[in-house]
Amino acid sequence: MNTVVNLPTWVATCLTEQSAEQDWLRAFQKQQGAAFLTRGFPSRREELWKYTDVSYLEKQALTKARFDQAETLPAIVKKHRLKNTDSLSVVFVNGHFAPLLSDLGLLPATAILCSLQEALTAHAELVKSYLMMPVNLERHPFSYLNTALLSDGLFLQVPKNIQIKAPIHVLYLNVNANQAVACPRNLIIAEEGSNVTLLEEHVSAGAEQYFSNIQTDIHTSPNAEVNYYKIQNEGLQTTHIAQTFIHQQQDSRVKMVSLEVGAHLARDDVYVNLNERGAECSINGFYALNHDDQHIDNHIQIDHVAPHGTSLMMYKGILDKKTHAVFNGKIFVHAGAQKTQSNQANHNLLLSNSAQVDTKPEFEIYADDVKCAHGDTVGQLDTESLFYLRSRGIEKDAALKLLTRAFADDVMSRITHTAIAQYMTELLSETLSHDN
Amino acid sequence: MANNYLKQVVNKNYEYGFVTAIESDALPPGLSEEVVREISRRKNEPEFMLQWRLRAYQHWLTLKEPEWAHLHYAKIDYQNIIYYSAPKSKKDGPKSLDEVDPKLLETYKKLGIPLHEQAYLAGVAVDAVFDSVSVATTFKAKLAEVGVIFCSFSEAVQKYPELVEKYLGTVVPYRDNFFATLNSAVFSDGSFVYIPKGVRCPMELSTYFRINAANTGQFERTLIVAEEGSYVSYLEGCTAPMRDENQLHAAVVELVALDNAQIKYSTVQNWYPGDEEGRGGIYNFVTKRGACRGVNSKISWTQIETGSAITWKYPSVILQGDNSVGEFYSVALTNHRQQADTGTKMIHIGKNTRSTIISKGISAGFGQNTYRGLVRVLPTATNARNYTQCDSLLLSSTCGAHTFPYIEVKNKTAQIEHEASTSKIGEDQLFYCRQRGLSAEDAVSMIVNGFCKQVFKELPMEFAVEAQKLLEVSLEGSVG
Repeated sequence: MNTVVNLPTWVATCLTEQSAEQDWLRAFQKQQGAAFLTRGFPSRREELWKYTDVSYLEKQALTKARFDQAETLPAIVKKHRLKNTDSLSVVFVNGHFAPLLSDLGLLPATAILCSLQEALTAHAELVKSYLMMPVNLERHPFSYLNTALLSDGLFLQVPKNIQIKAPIHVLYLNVNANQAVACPRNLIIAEEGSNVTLLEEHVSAGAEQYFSNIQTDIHTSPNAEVNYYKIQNEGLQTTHIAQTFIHQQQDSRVKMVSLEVGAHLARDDVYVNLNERGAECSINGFYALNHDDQHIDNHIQIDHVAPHGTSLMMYKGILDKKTHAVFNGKIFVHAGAQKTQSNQANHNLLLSNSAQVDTKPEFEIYADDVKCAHGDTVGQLDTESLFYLRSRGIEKDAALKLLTRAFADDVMSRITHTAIAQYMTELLSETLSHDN
Repeated sequence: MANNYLKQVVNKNYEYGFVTAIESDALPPGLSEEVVREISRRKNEPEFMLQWRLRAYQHWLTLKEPEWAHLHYAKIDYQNIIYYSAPKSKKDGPKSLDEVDPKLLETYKKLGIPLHEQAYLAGVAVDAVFDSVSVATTFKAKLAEVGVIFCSFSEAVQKYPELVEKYLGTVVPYRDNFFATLNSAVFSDGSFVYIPKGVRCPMELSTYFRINAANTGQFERTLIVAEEGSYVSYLEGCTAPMRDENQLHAAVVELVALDNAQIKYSTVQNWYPGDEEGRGGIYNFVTKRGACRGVNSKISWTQIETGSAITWKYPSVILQGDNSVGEFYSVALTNHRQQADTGTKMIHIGKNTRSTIISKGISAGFGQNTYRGLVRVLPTATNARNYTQCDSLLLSSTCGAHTFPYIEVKNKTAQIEHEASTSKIGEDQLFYCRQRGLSAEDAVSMIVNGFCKQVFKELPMEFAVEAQKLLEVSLEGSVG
């Protein structure tokens, strides 16, 4: 058992005890960790962290999450298996790959799907080039921490013109991981003309205090398509910090839909770089908070670097009890990114007087031939719609449920894979009815 | 063809650039406690004013210039600014227009605002600030009849110190922000308006500001108090002469509306924007804020911002009284190398408070136009309502349009809507107008006017004309 010290001290110790086999990785991790420590934890004085206070992390005593072989695991994994569809299942326990719980039977022969640790040996050069891609330290400090404390993660490479029909369900389970930190990293590379659908799910089996710091990197080559769904259903003591970096080449398409219902504090940074002409992305999320002191923060930035790019962004949420939601969506249109089309929206329903919303949809535009729009609302369910349903003999509770479902449908209907849509909608209904 | 016209218009030089040679009675450049004391001494101010200024100065020394705005400009050397300058003729104290320095009057004529004519024709009382001291005030008598006080700030300090002491700094405290604090320490003059209980001000009140002496920072302070059940409409407009050095302009405007009172504040801002390369031009850092203190009170800001090299301005409303209303209508234009970071804050505190924000940004040339706004609903503001619309029009591939709206809601009964869009003038819109026989420039003018109409219709008649003309000069046809 490690001695328990506060997080920065502990990170510093970890850096001196780096155990990675590869020299370059050890050196890189040291450098990244040192950069993180020098920069320090983000404070509320920083614009990007204005509404989200993570200073408590600094005082927490945490250790590295370890693999756990609880007997209940197979049952939990089974419970979370997608129904009514074939699927590949990749399971991580406390951030470490669990091959025995995973099922990779339907993987096409040419595709590479393995744990990141395995890829570091088997495909060293490839992994290295992606891991070492520069990241803005000021904007994404936790990406540096992630690299420094890298545990494991998913490595997926879909070769040219290959379609992986069965969705890949990546399940991150946290069990008996009290006071632990896990820093998994997913690396998804979709080569030219390929097509893949992933569902990344984070679940806590217990209610431990736990810190997940996840990073997912998605790279799409020309004309590739990635559908990336995410479920964040962590325990109510968990801190979930995630950053997703999406780099898109010409005419590639990425769709992301997140469903966020758990965690004590969740911060999701999505950064999309539409690097080449005609790239399209659709970044969506739905959050439903109904436990006191839940806090959720979504920071989305889409960089239109090249012309003819299209981006959609829609985040919606329902807040009950003493909860707090933060949204910051930013569309950045670089000079020369003409014919950009972009639409962003953030809509919030407040069900309680102690709930709070801070939202900021931003534009920064340096090209003229663009069409950009955004809309933001904060409000309650429409009383007239409620009256309409009541007047048709529908009970109040049922009517409210219907309207809430309808409110969520804008986002949920963007999940195009039927089985995943069903899986996520069920989770949402469960969360919402939990409240009543 | 349209391009030629575009070039003509875009390359147009500032029409109102000239320097009137009038001797200035100025302090040497630099800021120190001595300077603050000297300003107060020259203006013969009571002790409370001096103490207030000194507190502000001491606080200012602890502050750092804010850097969060989306603006880039050379560092301002605060020790290289003249903090006080009064036209020489002030010593004789002109009592009517006849006594005013004829050169001054000529300046106004060149600006197209012949003081007396305009006053007569438009029924507007003009309190003209030439540099830092008011030199002419008209229509006093008529206003005095109904008990309205409309005078320069210095005069108010002399004649109505109790009113000034009661309200000064209650909306924008001297600790508010870097520029407001600086203003509190060194402000030279400005306007003071007091509308007594139940009075509807019989005419539009108007002030034309004008910066003249080279190297003089202009620090006005305006205070408007509308007592219970009163109404006032206040107009402010400005042009400035051409020069090469950047000038700092840090004004403060405070509005107080008590029960059932209404204040309408309109601005046309056309300070010197600098030349095509961005040389010269005014740095405009303004703190404007209104407090709806009473129930059913209303404060409405309308602004047309076409000038200044740098604009940093967020006219705000604190909606404290139940059922109070705040409005903000803005057209901001940036051309050449101009940069504007402007918007509003609506702070909902009282029940059933409502606010409307309509902001239209137009960017051309290398201009950078930013809307920055805040809508905050506090837990006490039951049934608060806000509607925000901010649209941007882009007229060149080198300009920029940015939107940073903050929305903070802590009450579930609040209804907040925010919409924004950014686009250029559609080819199809132009084509539609052209095929109906409109020339390219008329078509653009029409579309831009339509784009701004929601704001223009909020302006008083006298100003609407000036505003349209300003936009025509700066904009019309600047789409290729």
